[in-house]
Amino acid sequence: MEQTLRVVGKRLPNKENFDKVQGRADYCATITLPGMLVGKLLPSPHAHARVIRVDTSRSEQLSGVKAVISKKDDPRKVFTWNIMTFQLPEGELQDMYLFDDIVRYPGEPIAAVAAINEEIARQALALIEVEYEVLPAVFNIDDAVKSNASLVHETAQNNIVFPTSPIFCYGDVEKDFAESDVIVEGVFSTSKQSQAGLENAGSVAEYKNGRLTVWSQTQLPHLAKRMIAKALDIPEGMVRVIQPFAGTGFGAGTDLCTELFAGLLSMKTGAPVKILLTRNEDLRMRWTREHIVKIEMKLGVKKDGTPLALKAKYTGDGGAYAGKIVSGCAVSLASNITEYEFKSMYQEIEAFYTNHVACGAMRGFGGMQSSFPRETLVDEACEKINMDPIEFRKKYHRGVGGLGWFPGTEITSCGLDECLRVGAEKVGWKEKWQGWGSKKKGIRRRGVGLAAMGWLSGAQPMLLEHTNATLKFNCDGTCTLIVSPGNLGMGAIGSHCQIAAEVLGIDLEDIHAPFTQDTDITAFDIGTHASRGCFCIGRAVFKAAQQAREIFFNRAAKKLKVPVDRIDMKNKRFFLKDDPENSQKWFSFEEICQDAIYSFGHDCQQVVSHASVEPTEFAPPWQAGFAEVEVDTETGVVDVLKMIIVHDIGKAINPNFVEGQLEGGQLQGIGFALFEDMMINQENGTILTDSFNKHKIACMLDCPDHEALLVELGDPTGPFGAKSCGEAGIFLQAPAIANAIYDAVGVRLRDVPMTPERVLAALKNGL
Amino acid sequence: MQKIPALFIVNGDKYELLIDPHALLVEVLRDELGFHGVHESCGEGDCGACTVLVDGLAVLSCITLAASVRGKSIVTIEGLAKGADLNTLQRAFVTHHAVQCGYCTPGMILSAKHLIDENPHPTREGIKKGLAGNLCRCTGYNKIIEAVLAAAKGGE
Repeated sequence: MEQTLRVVGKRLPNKENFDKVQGRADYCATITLPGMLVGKLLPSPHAHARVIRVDTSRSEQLSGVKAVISKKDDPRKVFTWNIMTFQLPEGELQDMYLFDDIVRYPGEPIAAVAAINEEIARQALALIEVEYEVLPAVFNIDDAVKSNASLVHETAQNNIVFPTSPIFCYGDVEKDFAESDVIVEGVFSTSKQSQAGLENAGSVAEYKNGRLTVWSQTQLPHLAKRMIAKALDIPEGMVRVIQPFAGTGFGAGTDLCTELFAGLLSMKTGAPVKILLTRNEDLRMRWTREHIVKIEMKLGVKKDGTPLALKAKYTGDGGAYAGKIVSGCAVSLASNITEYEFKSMYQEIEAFYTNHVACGAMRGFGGMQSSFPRETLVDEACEKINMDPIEFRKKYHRGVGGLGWFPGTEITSCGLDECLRVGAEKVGWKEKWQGWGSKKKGIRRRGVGLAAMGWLSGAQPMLLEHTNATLKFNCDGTCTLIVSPGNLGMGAIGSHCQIAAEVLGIDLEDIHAPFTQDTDITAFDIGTHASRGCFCIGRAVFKAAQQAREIFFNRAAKKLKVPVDRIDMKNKRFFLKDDPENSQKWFSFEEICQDAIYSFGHDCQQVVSHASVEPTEFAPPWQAGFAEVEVDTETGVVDVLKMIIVHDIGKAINPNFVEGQLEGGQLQGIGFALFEDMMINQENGTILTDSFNKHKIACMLDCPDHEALLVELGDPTGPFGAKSCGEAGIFLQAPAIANAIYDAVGVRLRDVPMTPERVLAALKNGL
Repeated sequence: MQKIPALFIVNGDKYELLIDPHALLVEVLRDELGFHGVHESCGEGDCGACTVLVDGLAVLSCITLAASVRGKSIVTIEGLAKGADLNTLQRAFVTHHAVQCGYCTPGMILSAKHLIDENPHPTREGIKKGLAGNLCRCTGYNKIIEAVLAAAKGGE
């Protein structure tokens, strides 16, 4: 199989990048339509207040203002920005109105204007008069659960979004803890990281001929369409969503942001309206990473390492709306299940409302909050039983046939042993790791650490993962591939083209794929989330291409007047198997395509091959991560000297794309581990880190020697054996760095980001 | 406010127009002249997405008053290719997959051009220092560094 691949596995260019390097790619930020108005949002200055009166009359009278919308225009339809709610039969909680009577976080839009230019739009905002009754607010869970706490939502008693509940438990943990030789436990916290793609949140809406077209940065165009229709109270067929290139993503596009305001403004004005947030507005208003503020975890193992019991509790701070906080917590606990063969598990989640910006999803959804505590506790347990941490992982990870995340799922492939072997060799584990209790000296001390994980390739069968691909053939032997992944530049569409070309026996150049996603053209697709793009949509592409191949084989056989089993295709040529060199007896692929469109024998056929798939298999990619750090014991600064992740991709459809995803994840993971945090003012709930000079993301100088290596052992269920890589780059930096810090200076960090302040405090306390 | 006359030479062509005295260079290039490859993100000089070349120097157009560069020669990303022929850096960025979402790419390539024009044989560390003002959230920078190294050697 390996030798016969012509297109799959090759480092071919992502065609859309030719547009991008020339500045010719359109984003929501760059789209300009004739007569387009500028939309702006009026943010609430209060974290929690009743909106008594909104007077827009002076604003409306300003010359150049075309519409002002506020409470009076609210369609009063309950919805949520979390468009993934449609992937569950009962859905996730919907608790938002476009302009509610109550504002619940600083920055929540009270009104919106559309004007002929930015300056007038700003002036118009300033002329809106709002009268508030300021209400008491809660900014953290400790305050939110107090008996006399102000309620963020009147219907949510004690500010509970989701009450403490056990999920996916098995076995008897208390019995297994009693039988454990070693028990390790800790309380951990993780940050509210911002996705921080460089294009600020924005959208364009155009209401024309009774239909609303919305250009959105969404990762799930078809689900966005459904939610926009619901929230604005118009039939779904009257909404069309177009996703141009998106300069952001990493989960941000699984929630709406500005779309509904732009949509309503366009419906009011009858003109196209663009809302593009500033960076400050984006960081204050756009939903962040699922914010799991507290993780309590306990592991029990036998002296020989045998994992017996895992107990954990995940506490989520949802902010002002439920968003994805419940699913974030649930994914955290589910992603603990796959890694090791614990005899029993008991895990709970709970989530609360507070008065700051809500949270959605970011790359590594929930897995950040499982891998960090679990992998650092495993390290602790290994020390207590004096076991090499690589050996523990090799010995006790689950394997093929083992339990996947969800009850009833089975692991279809596992390359973790190979990942551990390759990574250990690359980082020089044998030379650098001096065993437990090795005492390092000096002001700057070095250490190494590792971590491991198994993730998923799409959230089936827990979530609906319905996906489609269409191939439409042209008369010149080329075809158009229509898929709807929600294109963030990750290379999904490029990978789909490579899969199609390989199956069809044609070249990458022969496949045209529109980069822009349009719900009027594409068939339904869930879109991009949960690392599903290559695996799930790739399977639909594979199937559609196989069907098309069959159609063309039949047409070629008919032309050659032989049964179809007598012909084969190679080098874009159909020929007789038993007479391959007979030039009288072959047709090129192009000739057969042309004959389908221009058949003068009354056999015309527009070949369109469509495949609908709903994957059910659990194909986890596995990974080992190794960090080497140097800790300055006087300043608490942690320098990452080397960060290596070795990823079990199954098969890399295009190694460049896979490495690109993993390397990008690496730096976001290093940011999560060491410096990225959305800091919330505990006095008033505002986001303190509302610019790139306050919410630091890694620049080139923060970029250590880092590498992503691939292990390709295949998976029986993936297209050409491929598994996922979209999220996987980001998981192991925090636990591997934390374990390396311990190796260097002997302290355990429980909170990320592991800032110099926290490292110094831990060193002082000798934790 | 009274508009002022201004002449800009963008990608070799002359443009005469009336601008607001407080207009930013990014606004004039993007909104008045239609160079949509000039991308704005932070709006305050933190990220480098809006980088253009002014008389050969890499300049942040989001914090540059347009009036201050009247009469100067400006190069945007649209000015790098010669017709359909991409510049070496552009080709190298495609070949090395140094692009993902592509939003930082125009600024990154123009900063890299400035870097290579100043120092035709940059080291890996030199590239890191030279491009530290251009943020990219997608790539992890490795492939950008490889692309710039390759382009500096004259290849893809």
